[in-house]
Amino acid sequence: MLEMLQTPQFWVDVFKIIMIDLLLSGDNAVVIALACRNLPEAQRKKGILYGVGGAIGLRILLTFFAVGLLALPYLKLVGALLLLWIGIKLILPEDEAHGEGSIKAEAHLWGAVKTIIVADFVMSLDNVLGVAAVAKDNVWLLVFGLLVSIPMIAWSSQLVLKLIDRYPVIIYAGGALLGYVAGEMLLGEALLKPLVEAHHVLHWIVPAVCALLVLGTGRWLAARKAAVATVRDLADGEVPARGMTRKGEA
Amino acid sequence: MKILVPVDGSEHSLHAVRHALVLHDSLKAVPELVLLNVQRSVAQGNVKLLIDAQTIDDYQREQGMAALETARHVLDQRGIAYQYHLSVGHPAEAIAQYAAKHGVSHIVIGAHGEGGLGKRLLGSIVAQVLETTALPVTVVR
Repeated sequence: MLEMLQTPQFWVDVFKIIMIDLLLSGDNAVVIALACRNLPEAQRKKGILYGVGGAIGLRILLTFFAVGLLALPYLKLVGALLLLWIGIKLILPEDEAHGEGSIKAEAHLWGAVKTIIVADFVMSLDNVLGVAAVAKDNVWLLVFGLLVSIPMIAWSSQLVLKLIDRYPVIIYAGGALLGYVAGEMLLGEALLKPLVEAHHVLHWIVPAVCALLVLGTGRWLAARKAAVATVRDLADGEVPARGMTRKGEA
Repeated sequence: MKILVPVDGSEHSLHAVRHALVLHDSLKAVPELVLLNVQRSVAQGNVKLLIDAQTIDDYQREQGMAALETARHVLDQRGIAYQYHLSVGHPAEAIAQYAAKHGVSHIVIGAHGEGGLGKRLLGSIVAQVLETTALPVTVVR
């Protein structure tokens, strides 16, 4: 384990995992906070705590499950395709300015926890797949990836969302990274082994092509659905002179 | 004359509100005052996929009203008429868009909003506002 820490490859992989975690779990905390919104003050902390705990537990479970699955033939192929799609989806802008999900803020603690767990399941999948792809068969990297994602679920604020808003290039870098990782996973597919071993140049060509594929497809699709209004009105109000009464509380 | 005061709840945005009050008191024709708060959209990626629109809107409205609270208090105490508005989106864009749509003639804005790390990473909203609007802008420290 200690020698591993000294290889540059280890740190490159660590960087990849952190990047993927940052981009794919930033919204996890927001979803948890929103689902607990309508709980009474005293229960809200509990709801968030249980929600974060559930998210972490699910992630550990799913990660080991994913690693087990990925050892089966063909499934690396499926995993790589999924990762390509996750990368493209990351780059795509939102369809419309309005939410379309169905989770309402629950007024009961267990209702909130239940919704959070369901949401966690969906949100963990892409992340788990990304981390498993980077870690390959390295258990230490896998554990490290899990540990890194935990504080991000628990405390990640809106800073990531704001950063992405300010520097959209982060999204493209993230999409390219996911494509690259997908390419690496593709190389690991047992079916392609003979081919890869015969042509060593494929070791960098495939990931590079996959990264470009995500960037290209993402940009192309993004251009097709550009020009969505990005500013939305939420509330309006007018306060008349001299009156302490406030009208128009929307 | 319509004066737009972007407010994020920070100390500097309150300075801007107070300066707008000074303008209100000293201009010959009493200007209209509009407080504007812009919330960054949280409806991205999985959040949008999982949470219903109503809950997201309620949350952002609550955050926006909270950010406006102290500024409104300052104006309420003076008992003058004003409007307020909440938008969701990129701050500078939303400010410019509101100004263009509602015939704003002057923007009064605090020098710094989000302080510290956020500001260093995100850059100054004021600089972006100056870039996106052709209106006269007063920056208040």
